[in-house]
Amino acid sequence: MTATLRSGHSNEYPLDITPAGQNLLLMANGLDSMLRWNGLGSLADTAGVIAPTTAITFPNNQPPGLITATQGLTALVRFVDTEGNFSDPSPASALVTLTDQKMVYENVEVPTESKVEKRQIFRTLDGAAAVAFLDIETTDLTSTRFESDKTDDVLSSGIQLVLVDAVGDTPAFKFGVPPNHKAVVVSHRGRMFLAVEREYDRGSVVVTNGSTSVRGIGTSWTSAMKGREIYVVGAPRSYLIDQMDVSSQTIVLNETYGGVSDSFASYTVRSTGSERRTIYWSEPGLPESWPAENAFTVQETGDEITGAFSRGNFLYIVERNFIHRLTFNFSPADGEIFLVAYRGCINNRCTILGADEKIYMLDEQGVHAYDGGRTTAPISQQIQDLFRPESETRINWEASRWFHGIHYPAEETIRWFVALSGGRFPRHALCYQYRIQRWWIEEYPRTMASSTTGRIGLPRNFVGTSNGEIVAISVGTLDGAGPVGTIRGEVSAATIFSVSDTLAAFDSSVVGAMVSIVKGLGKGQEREIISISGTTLNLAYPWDILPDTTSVYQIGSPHWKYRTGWFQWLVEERQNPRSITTLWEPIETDGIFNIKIFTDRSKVADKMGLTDSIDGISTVEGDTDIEIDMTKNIGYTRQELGSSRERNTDGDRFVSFGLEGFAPKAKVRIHQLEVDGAFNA
Amino acid sequence: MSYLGRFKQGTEVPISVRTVDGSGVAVVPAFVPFAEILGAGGKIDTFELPVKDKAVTTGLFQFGLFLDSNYPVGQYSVIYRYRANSLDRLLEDAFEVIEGGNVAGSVNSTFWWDRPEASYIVFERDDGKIEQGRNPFIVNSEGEFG
Repeated sequence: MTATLRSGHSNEYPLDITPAGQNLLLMANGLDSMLRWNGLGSLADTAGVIAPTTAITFPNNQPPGLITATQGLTALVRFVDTEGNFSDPSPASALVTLTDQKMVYENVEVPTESKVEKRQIFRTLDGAAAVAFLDIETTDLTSTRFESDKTDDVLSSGIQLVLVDAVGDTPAFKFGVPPNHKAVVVSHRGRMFLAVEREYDRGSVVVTNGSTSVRGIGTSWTSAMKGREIYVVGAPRSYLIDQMDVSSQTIVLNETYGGVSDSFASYTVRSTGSERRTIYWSEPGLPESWPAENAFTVQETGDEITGAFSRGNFLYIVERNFIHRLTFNFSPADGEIFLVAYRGCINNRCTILGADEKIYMLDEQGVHAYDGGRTTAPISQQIQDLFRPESETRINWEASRWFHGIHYPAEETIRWFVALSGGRFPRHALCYQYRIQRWWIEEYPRTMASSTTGRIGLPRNFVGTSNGEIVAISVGTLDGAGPVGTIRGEVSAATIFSVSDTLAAFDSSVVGAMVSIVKGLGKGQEREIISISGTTLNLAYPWDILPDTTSVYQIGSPHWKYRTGWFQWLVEERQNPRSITTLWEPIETDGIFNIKIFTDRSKVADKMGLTDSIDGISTVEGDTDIEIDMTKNIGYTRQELGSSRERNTDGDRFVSFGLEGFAPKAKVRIHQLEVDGAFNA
Repeated sequence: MSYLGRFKQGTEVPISVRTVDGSGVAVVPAFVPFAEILGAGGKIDTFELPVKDKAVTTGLFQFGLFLDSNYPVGQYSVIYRYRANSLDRLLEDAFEVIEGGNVAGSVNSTFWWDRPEASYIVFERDDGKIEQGRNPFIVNSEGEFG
């Protein structure tokens, strides 16, 4: 069972979720106010406490009392939330003098946030403006008038609030709410840091020359966008968003629109230009306290900041094409930031700290391993075609905001989930085994939109997918199939949107899993199961080739493929017999894999010339597969591939092999593929 | 009429129209086109369509309709209305919502959090909800463990 912490949050960008110590999670997306959750409450609140904006006032005639202040004193109020976080104080009141009177505070602001638990009213002592003392602390959150008869002598022994210290700092005003226009939160040396801007450009706008009103079409603007700038295509300049009406999706600009009226205008909302390269930090040990002056700017490179991470004594600020490094002793205000590398990362979720002390990043040039200093090494040469714009199969960078990566230490593998097509979310992973430096690509039947590492028994990777589900990867052998119910059988009937097995007892857990035809007519097809009707599985999309009673289906099978490069046959075949040998782990449950042969650079596999089945090897005339029965207990097969080509006659010159299959319930292990009679082309 | 395809709850249907005149030439309409979604029980929603790729394409308007709980399994029609060259025009598309979906949509962000009293997985869904699950466990073809 899950519980809802918050509703109505923008889903335009991933939510960055970061722990601040053991007892607090901070969540930011750059489009809504930062949230916090303490793990115990039922809801997530906004982080920080919004300060009162109205100064306290005093009545013209204060009632008789004990207080005399001839030089004058001022008062302020601040809010305290249920976690004990303070807001900044309100503006200071005007000076008031008293002679044997009580102190009456009026217009004490009422908090708007439900998480505020109490209010604290402070006042200065007579003639002393730098320090205020706590006069009233109250859980009354509705009254606007309070009285006190505490003299300076009584107050001076209590809680004090330093308004201005000896060096001119203002410690009382260090509790600002975190900026809501930054999207990545990083914990570093006891402080939290905020980086990365978010632009919003969904939909279009209706703008009218001479009007301050802008209407959104197909937009989902948030209240946090107030105070940001809107850039309208064709407008002479940007405009400040003065008011935001979320329900009507209407903006009021700070001044009238000077561009041409347009009912179909493209636009972008983002924070003011000076904020682009600004990094904010919190007070040490106070993750919800963000004074506005706690900020530094990263030198201009013409690039965009995409992420940040902490490692050792350094905070790294990452751009698409550059890496900067911040170091400081006591405060980031005294720190130094240096440009240290000329590669970057596409977004914050694609920076992976490996177990081998390297930092792996995915950028538009490829994948590189960064040593944390000034050296970064490209490592994606084996898959570099995916990064070339002219390649047939390439990464869809339009969807890069949803790319993410995860490290699985037990497999010594890092996966970057990317989109290789026009989809919004990733369906593929670029997988790198860093110990043996090998790459492969995984394709998934569902979207893989997010990932995290946790521990159930041992460390595991979890991935957020479609249908509101979170799955664990590299667990078991089948995807989506539960422990009970039928998962493999012979097809008894099929329609364009269904497949039936009258002997089956399907469990509801298979809804959402893939059903594959692993043998017989229609072999190689896989479709998603959307519902079960008795002994029939109903499918999301139609079969291309309708299975029949010769077909065998399997539920939850990952479809795997392997392809060799091209070999060249040795010329004298009689001296160099041609064959392919495979060695695999025999299994006890039904399972097959297929060998395909490709000849002379053909993209299409050769068709078999006869129908035969012997010793666990089967072929069908006209089919491309040599089918190997994995239950064959020897785990070995050898297939001769003679073509009777002689030196002076024509025949096949080049060959390549593919191994392919749908994984059965048992794990598939193929140890060896050996080709005789050929050499690397 | 075009058939837009089969979609599940929790996914987006690409609702789009190209505003053309009587000769089939793409034109800029007089006002923002809007779409009505009709189901078995009548009208479900009406919304305006934002312009798409205006710099390179004339008259293309597109919106991603998120299939929430207002769209149960069934057949739906999309009626587009716009005005081009002083004439009101109307076009129609259709789509189908099939079983197997979840109005929550995709899980877009996830985070595992170990606390003293329990482990949590905190995640955000496509429907804008942030959720937490305490002490998650795994169920697979070999059984349940956690």
